[in-house]
Amino acid sequence: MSVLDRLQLALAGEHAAIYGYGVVGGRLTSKSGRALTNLNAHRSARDQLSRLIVSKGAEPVPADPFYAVDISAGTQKQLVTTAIAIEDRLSVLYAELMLENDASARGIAVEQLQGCAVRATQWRSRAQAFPGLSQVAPAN
Amino acid sequence: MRPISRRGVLSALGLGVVLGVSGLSVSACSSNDNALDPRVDEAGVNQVFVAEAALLAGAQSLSKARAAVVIHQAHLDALIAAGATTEVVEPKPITSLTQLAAAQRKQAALCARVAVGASPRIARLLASIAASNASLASVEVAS
Repeated sequence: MSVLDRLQLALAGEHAAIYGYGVVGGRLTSKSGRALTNLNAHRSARDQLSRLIVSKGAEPVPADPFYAVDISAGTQKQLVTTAIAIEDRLSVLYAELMLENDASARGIAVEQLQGCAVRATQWRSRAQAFPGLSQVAPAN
Repeated sequence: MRPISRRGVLSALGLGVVLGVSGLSVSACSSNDNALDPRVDEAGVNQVFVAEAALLAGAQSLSKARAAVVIHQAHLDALIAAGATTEVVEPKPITSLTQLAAAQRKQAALCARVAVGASPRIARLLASIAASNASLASVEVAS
């Protein structure tokens, strides 16, 4: 997989995150302000990734018109769980972007991985030992 | 806390180690997946290791930082597995959650800086540790 492939994957993840936070944020009765803040953070990350992809001579992947977001239970707890899942899935994409030897891509990845991890921690009220990594997790 | 020598404890042979260090208990099994590139990574990983050991000692001294103790211990385990070969020296004492959070933010910045120039697997690990420390700092500030 090339650095462009991984950047496009991260961008696609940001598109999904923006959609997801729109769904979640509109239904949260409390902490909707946090959801809006996070939505804006993901918009910023999307723009950052898009600029880098363009600078590398490629066309940024567009957002899909629809993403499946499971809110079937209709509970606040489920909405928070969904927000955590959004951040955790993006964390994996940014961690994998670190595998590319590209300083500009890594610069974004290391910054955005921190953002995702902090936001996930705010939702779940506890930190994880290895955000974005699944195979090294004795304390996760 | 006395300095300890860890040189050679994790060689390329892939041996696990258990260390006892005046309250620091550092244990790990090595991972060939995270094999260190000595030309690029050793100094950075060792620098991160020393700072992480200081964070563990600081968290251990605070009764309200038990979750941080577990996480910093896990970070040390992974850094040893990644090939850290430095010595742990007596850290500056941390006497409050605010100080701990500040040190965690500093560690996040260090990890991020080292990660950008490291070999791929080390870069991924350090970026994750950076994110974890940033998260811990956000929790300590909130508590």
